[in-house]
Amino acid sequence: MIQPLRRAHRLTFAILAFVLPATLLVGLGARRSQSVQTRMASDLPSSAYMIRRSGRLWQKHAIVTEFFGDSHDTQQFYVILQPQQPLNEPDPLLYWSSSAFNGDALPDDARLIGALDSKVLSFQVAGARAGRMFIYSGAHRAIVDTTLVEKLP
Amino acid sequence: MSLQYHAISWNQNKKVYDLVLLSLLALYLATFAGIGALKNPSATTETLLIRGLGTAAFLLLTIVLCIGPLARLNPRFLPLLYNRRHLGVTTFLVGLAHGGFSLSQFHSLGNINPLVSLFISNPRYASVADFPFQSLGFFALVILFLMAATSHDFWLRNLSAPTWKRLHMLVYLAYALLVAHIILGALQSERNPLLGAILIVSVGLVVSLHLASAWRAASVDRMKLAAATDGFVQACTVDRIPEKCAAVVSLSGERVAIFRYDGKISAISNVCQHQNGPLGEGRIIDGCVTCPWHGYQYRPEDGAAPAPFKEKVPTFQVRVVDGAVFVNPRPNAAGTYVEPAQLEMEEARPR
Repeated sequence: MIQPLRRAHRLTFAILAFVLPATLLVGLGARRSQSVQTRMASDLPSSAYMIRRSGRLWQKHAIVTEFFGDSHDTQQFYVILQPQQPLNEPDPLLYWSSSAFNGDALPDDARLIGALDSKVLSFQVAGARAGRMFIYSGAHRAIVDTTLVEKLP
Repeated sequence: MSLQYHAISWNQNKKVYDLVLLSLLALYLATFAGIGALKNPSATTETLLIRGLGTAAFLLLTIVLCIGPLARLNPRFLPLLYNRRHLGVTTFLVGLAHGGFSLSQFHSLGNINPLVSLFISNPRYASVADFPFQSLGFFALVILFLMAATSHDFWLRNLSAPTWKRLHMLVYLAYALLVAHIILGALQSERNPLLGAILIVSVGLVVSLHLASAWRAASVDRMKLAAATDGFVQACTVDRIPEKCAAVVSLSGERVAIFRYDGKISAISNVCQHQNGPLGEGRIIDGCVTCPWHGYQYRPEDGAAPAPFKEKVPTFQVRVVDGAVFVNPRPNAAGTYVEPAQLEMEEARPR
């Protein structure tokens, strides 16, 4: 009457006693370390060289931002962003614009550089090398943060 | 036990139970949101709600899973078990709110159906750090929905108890899916050790409590009972059984509850017909064996519920010789009358 149920319970917990701790260990072990610089640097081409690095560029968030140039292409740049705190914004995207910013919406010439996850983002800039970057939430359709980028060499 | 279908048979205990539950839930969400807003001012209300509801649902499920073994280990936890299904349904509803807000936050406003987006937006099933953990939460929610939808005696009767029980044992799969959902989701980016500690404590509690109660229950099954020549087995001694209570023994692989009452001994199945509660841990009240879980009652001499109720449990032949109780391990059909064994004057004196 009850014994098959007891056996099923015991078997379930004998399995869970291994599966749950194993899942915890595997999941914790797979976490990316906060210092991902080494891993990201390996995603850059060998011709890339660092231009500048700053942790105080953005207006509202502490994001370590690194700019890289490309010795093979003077118009090619790379940027790596490492937020020091989770952004808590759904679908964050990085945009570049060379024109003035009225503080409201993305400028008309804003170009999508890429989605803001842990990887190297590349973009091309011709002509004026100064501009503005925007972190834009695709889900909220709102600018999350912005920074002025001084002239890139 | 009910003759007709009622959505919820409210009584004072259930109302108090639910009021306490909802108050604590509201307090938890408000506290979580308040502390979250203070520590992370840039977090939106949606984000705080998603996290608060998610953690609340997981904590509720942990509590739900701990109630069963706790009640087995210590009877003072029985009041928590009484209305556990309300706790379970609340767990599902809180989880549903978390899932709904998450779907809206991360998968809507695009040109793909949000439910489709949930499964196709992240195809990295081969990665651990980038695993599409949201699908794990979705499947856990489906299981919790099936359990919540069938959390009523109506379904228990119509699905039959074994089928209903098999369905509700999927809660363990749901729990494992949720642990994976959290460890492969929030814990991949959350550096605060608190969430990880909560997860580890939850897993440790659930597993260790279940193993402890299984060990204690198994000790009954491991008892070796001496067999007599006429098929009866010596189960225990009379003085081991308190008045109006029972001793529980394992005979031929099943549990038998041997009750002592009014100078008599009767033996019935230990398994309540309602939700397999341990009748042997109950007492005799108003002449009926009363299940400690939900109060279902059975007459000790025939295992039948008093009119107008119709539940029945198997009975066992029993006799008393020189202070020793002998039970025939072969059960009689549920509801079969068995003459109780009479105790001698000396034996009948209550302990």
